[in-house]
Amino acid sequence: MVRFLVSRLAQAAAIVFLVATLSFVLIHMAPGDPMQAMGEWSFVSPDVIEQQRRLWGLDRPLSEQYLRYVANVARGDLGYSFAEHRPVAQAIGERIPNTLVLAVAALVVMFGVGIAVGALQGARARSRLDDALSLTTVVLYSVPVFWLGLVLLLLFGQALHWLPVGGATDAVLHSHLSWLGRVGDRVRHLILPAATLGLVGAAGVARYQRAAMLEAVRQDFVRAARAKGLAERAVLIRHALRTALLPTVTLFGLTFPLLLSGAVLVETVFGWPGLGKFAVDAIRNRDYQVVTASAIITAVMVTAGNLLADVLYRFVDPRTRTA
Amino acid sequence: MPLTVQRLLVQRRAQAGLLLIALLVAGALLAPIVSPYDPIAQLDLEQRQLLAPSPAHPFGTDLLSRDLLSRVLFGARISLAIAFLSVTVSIVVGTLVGLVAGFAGGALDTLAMRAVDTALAIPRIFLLLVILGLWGAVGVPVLIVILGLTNWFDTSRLVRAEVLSLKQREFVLATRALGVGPTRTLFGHILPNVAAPITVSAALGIGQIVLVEAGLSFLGIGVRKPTPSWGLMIAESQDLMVSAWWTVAFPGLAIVITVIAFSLLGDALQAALDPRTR
Repeated sequence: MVRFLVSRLAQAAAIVFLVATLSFVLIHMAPGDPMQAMGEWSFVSPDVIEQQRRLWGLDRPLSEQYLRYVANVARGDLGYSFAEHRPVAQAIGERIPNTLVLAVAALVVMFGVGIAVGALQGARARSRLDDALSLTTVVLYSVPVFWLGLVLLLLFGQALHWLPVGGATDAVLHSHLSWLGRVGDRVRHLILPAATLGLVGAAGVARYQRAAMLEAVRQDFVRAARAKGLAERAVLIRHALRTALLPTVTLFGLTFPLLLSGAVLVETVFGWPGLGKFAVDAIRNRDYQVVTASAIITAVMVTAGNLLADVLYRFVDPRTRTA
Repeated sequence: MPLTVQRLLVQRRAQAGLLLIALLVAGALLAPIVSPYDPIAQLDLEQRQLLAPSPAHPFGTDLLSRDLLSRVLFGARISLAIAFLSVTVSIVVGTLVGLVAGFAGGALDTLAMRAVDTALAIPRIFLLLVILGLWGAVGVPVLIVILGLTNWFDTSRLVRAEVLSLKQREFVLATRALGVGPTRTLFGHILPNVAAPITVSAALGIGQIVLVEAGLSFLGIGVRKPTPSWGLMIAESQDLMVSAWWTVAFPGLAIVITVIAFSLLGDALQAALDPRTR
């Protein structure tokens, strides 16, 4: 297990290093340089821009710039946010918890709803319920996540007034609430974004889980469980579903990139102050170091997620431990 | 192949998907003829702003008094053109990389697959944010190329995996014994056997790229104003959603229907090509 972890960690580090390299290549392939945006403001003199170029080492040969860049990233220095006038790492650090909270909540919805629906469909294959749920999942799978967000916002926020329409907390009341009230406020703000992001993913999980369940209920051990007179419920849940969960666990690692991509759109729709919204705003402000840094950070999150999924898989499937 | 076509066409979802795709393509091609109005023309800012759906404007009008039905029809042109062309780019690149990496093996394979791993580690929208952010406003042709070149990674993995298993098969050994060169073996004998999974991946890919393009346009970094793109139309109208639902509803439904059509076709294709998944 230790050897497996060490080798997987080394791989993860290599990928993050390559992602940093890729973003360096992209930055330098792009027209202009990070100081170009400054030149567009008429009040910044060319001398200042030249001084800034020297300060950030942009006048150095490319190989030196690259080494410096990698060394900076490795030390956690992701550049300077011109829009926020502070280091990017600091500004991004404030957003990461919000995105993580959203992603984890969406993950719970995604796998909770997805597994339940898919297992039900697999157990009642080709029934009217299965057909109806299949249609629902195909539709949900095809809905643009930002549009679903807007529809839910219109319905539960604007029309029914059940839930707040945006942000992570109530802008006025939050700081006056009790500790418990603050938690409640946060949860109320989290419901719609997490449901939006989670439901779209749940459709994919359900499709996968249905196929796995269909495969499992055909197996001999399920027939054996029935033959020994177990209740149908126990057969389906304890015997069939338990085996059918295994393929779904492999999905776990694959969902992180999708979840973070979706988070960009969901955060924008709901004004959720996370990494995705920050990156989109940074493009509008031409704050490029924030954009590239957010790509590196999300790559780290994806790689960590994959690592977690691998470990989880070894944990739930004993067969992989000896291999 | 005819048997596969038969297996495809007997499925209800394939029929539904193909019918929807035919309607969408017809709407896109005939948009200049069937659209009641010019999609970009601001018809009458005083009298026709934000009109609810009516016989004169079946989908209503937007804030700038433009006819939404015309914009949705022209939006189909943009979305489908971007989707078809960029998927063509990604399928060609992905297939080539996968074929060569899988067939050559060794250092070339390792290099290609590490590159793919790296690219896949960055969530797609962030990769596109970096590229589109750094390059600034790009036209539709450049957008197509960028979408195509950031979307071939999965295809190349899929093709490589197929090639690796095909390489071990006896017919490949036979071609070598007959003195067929590696290029001809790869393109003449291995490629046709990979065609099936590539086709499925293309059909599913089109729906997904429609979603990606809509998302980027919604964020304001995909298709630019005043070109009618579904994602952009939703972004422009989202603040009016409460008072004028139709401005957000119809472009959204157009996206949903398009993606459903290609998902249905992709699923049906998969079932037709691989009966085990039924």
